Amino acid sequence: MSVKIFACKNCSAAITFNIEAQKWICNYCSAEFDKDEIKEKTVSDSGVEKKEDLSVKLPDLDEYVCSACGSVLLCEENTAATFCLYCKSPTVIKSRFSGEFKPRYIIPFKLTEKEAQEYYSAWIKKRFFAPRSFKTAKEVDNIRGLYAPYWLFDCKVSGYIEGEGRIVRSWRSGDYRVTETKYYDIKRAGYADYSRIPVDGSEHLEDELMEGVEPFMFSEMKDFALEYMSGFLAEKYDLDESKALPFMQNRAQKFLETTLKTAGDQYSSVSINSKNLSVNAPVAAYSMLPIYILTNFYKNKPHRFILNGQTGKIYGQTPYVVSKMIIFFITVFLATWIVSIFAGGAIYAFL
Amino acid sequence: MLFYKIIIFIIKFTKHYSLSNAFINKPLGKSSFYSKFFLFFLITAIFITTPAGASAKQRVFDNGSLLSEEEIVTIQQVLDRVSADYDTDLFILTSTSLNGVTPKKHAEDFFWGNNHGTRDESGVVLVVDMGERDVWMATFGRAIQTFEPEVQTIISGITPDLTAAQYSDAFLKFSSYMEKPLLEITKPTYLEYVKKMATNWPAYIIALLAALISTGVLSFNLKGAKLVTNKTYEVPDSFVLSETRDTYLRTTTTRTKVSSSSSGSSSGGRSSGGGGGKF
Repeated sequence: MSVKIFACKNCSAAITFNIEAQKWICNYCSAEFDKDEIKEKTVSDSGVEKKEDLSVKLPDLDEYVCSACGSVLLCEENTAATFCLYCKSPTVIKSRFSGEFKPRYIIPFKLTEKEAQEYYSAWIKKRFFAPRSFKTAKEVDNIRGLYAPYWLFDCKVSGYIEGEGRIVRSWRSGDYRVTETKYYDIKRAGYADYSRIPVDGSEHLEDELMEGVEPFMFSEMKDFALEYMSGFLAEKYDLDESKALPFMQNRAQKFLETTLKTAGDQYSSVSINSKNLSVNAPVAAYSMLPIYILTNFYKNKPHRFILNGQTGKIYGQTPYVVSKMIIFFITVFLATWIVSIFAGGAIYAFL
Repeated sequence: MLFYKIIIFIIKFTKHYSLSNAFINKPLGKSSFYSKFFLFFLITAIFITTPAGASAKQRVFDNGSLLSEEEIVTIQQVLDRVSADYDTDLFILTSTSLNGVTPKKHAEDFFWGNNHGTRDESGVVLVVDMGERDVWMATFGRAIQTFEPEVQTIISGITPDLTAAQYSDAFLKFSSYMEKPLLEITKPTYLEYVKKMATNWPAYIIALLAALISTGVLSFNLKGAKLVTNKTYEVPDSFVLSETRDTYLRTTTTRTKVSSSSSGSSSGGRSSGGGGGKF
């Protein structure tokens, strides 16, 4: 099983995908290349073979030999692209992208690491009750970018909902407030097509966080090519299509349910008594989508933040400092109280 | 004027977020010019309406024809001034005959029937009835307590003038008698109103709401916003509503009584205090 290194035509050094230019740039001679112009440094299968798993202590690691410097790479089971620890050459583990693991699509990184840091820095500062340690430059520096494995599902959903709709009107009549509620028995049936519903294919990346950085701009999605991996970390999926399907079905059913609930848009509220929604003809495309991950610790508990590597959307488990909240609450309470007694007293006195 | 200055101070304070800047006469900038202007307008409107309200009333009802036109005007002006200054509604009623109604009741009917009285229903009505030769001073609201010790002195003070048919002098002397005790117990000061606000629930509720809402808003997006909706992944125009059924069931109507502005505390209801005699 071989490791691919993409080489510069001029100087044979490794080339990586440069985010700002959206092209490949040689790290040594700065030559630029489009995807079609890249030459693969051939690495014969004989020179590099997957060694037996020697480390009993870390059963999830496999060993590979770096074709640039000959040293041994230790990779986690799902790592598909990484850097050699010794010579820092960007390496792509071809076998982890082959067969069932060959992705169909990729969205290349749009934000550089520095931009990601800036976005995150601005975002965390806006979270008023977050601990101050999270907002320092040192913590922000720990961001790392990675291509995450995703299943993008197309499907059709059809079904119906039945329940009760209410129209509420309220008005003032003399000394009374009158509230009138009209009740309707409603049924709505329909169907819709959905395209590219993402389900993340990695068990250890929390689904809630991954959904939080959606949506991705699929208009910028390209057919997958190994070259894009060069210079980045990437993981292959460990949640296969059949296991990802139930997650997708859940989301798709909820989408149609909401669309049906709000169709016509005349009711103040709708409560559903029975429903039946089925997902049909799911088709999945395995794709690589760019994200930045940051894990910070607060009170010895990890807090993970995910940044969308294309759009910059951020979502994370921000901790809140309880004492900050209490102090803020008390301050606002006192300030408002003082202003209202003086202002109220003034109004009372002078009117 | 003081009120106006206080409001401007608060605006400056909130704009610059520091006490030192608020004391300096820093120019506020364009947006706050409009708020300043609006506030000035509002306050002027308030100041205009308040005194106007006090002077629009007729205070001398000379049904007994005891005074000349000019005397009525003079006394009216004096009563206007004292009423406004001391926040107490003053009236003088004269009559040829009360038709058996006691002067006290006459004063009460007049005062309550015409909804006189300042916000805490404070007022004084002097009744002079030629028919029975009664003079009566009726006090209402806060004025009851203010004048309780003084009523007889005042009556004794003006009775000689009434006997001598010097009605104008009597009434002017009456007005001056109003000022002295009222001076001692004037309308509640601004600080007393502040204390009243501080001990009542509305201020606490407002402060609690403000604190809850602001803390809630800032905690709301702690994790980040969720942008995905039910339409995000839907193929445009692919949604088809194949069946709808809306069947009317019933209507329920609820009526809740909304209490109108809470009645202020009125000691003694519709009664009055005071005293009087013959002249």
